[in-house]
Amino acid sequence: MKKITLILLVFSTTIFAQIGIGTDNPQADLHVAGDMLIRDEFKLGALGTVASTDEDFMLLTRSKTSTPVGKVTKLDVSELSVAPVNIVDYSFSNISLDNLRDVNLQYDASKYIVGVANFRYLGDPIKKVNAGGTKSIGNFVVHTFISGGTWHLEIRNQTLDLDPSDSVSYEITLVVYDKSYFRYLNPITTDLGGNNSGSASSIPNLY
Amino acid sequence: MVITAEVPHQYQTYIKSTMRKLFIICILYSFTQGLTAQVGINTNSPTSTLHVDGDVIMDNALYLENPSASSKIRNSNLLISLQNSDIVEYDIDVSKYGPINYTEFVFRNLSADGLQDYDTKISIDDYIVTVQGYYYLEAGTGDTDVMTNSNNGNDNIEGHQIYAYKNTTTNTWFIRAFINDAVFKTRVAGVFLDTPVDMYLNLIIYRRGFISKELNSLSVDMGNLETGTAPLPPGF
Repeated sequence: MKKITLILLVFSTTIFAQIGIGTDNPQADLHVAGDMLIRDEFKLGALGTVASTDEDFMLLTRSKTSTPVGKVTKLDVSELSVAPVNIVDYSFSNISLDNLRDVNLQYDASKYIVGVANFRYLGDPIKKVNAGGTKSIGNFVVHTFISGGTWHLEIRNQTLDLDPSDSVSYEITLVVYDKSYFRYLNPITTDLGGNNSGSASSIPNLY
Repeated sequence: MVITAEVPHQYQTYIKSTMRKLFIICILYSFTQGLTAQVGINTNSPTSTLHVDGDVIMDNALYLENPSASSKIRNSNLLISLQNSDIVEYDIDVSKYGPINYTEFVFRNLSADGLQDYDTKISIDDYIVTVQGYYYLEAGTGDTDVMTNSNNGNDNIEGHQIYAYKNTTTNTWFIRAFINDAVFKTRVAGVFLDTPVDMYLNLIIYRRGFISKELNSLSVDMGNLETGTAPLPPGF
């Protein structure tokens, strides 16, 4: 046996033709009739742009759990139980007076951001209450908040109560954002020192 | 590209005459066994391991094993797959719609009893419409001295309903923005009188099927308690 070393090209290999891999009939400059794995960078030079008439296109995502890793897939929200944005209507009935003081919505605060839209107050009015010669309307709030690692909901007049002979029900729409797509920024707290105007104590890092 | 092979002595002259064949084999070998040089298709100066100066079709899956990560949200576009499977850049300035869209609806000179029904003409099949903010001022003047007044006595604090809903007859989203059984009033010469208002609504409009989806509605019976737990939709 004799060892032969073939030095082919130190430079590069160039092919001027349509190349088919796994096909005798390539339909593009490179046509892979199967899967393709790219270990490092993947660059697309002249990429087309969406047209104003295009509809029902899908985002592309890269899976970190596929085998092999990195499978590029279409984001088909109809196939997902949890989409980047999830919209769900809620109705609350048989409420104690007007007080939805603390409803655990159970959405994991480490994964989601939950907001309220489309508020409906259905039912009897709360009565004003005498407060030293004037009448207080109390303070009615509708908001979500994080407690014990999950999102919660409060809807009520925090100061006044509905007459026990009256009743209300509430309807809202919750918008549940997945934190893979929507960033939860830390609260920006500014002490206004009793003034009615000011500027932010810090700027969110939005790049 | 350097390829080393062990060849029996009697075949050495044969090898010289078949150098060209071997060269081609080596290229094909490189496709199946892993490249050790740069290959260009339609280019003499490949700038990466495989450089295709042209179009590529992949019939099945594409795996990107170790792409670099993006650390900035500016100056980059999302990639989308069109219905014909073409991969193109998403440009919100060109596209028919954004994944999430914002608009302000302004109702000038709105009746004192509020917006009872309004057809946005936005398709319920394609979009999900939500009202996420509102304010109102005295019509025309912009005066903030507007109060809501119950039709059933001054001591009633009426609730409000400011929301979008699906009209399945027109197949479009409608909006309502009013105070229950009440009117807007403003002070004229020290007396509160009914007044039209300018109503401003902040609408967030989500495109269905892009990044947003609507889940089944949930009803929660609070059992006459102030605290409780709402059911979680499946998958969360």
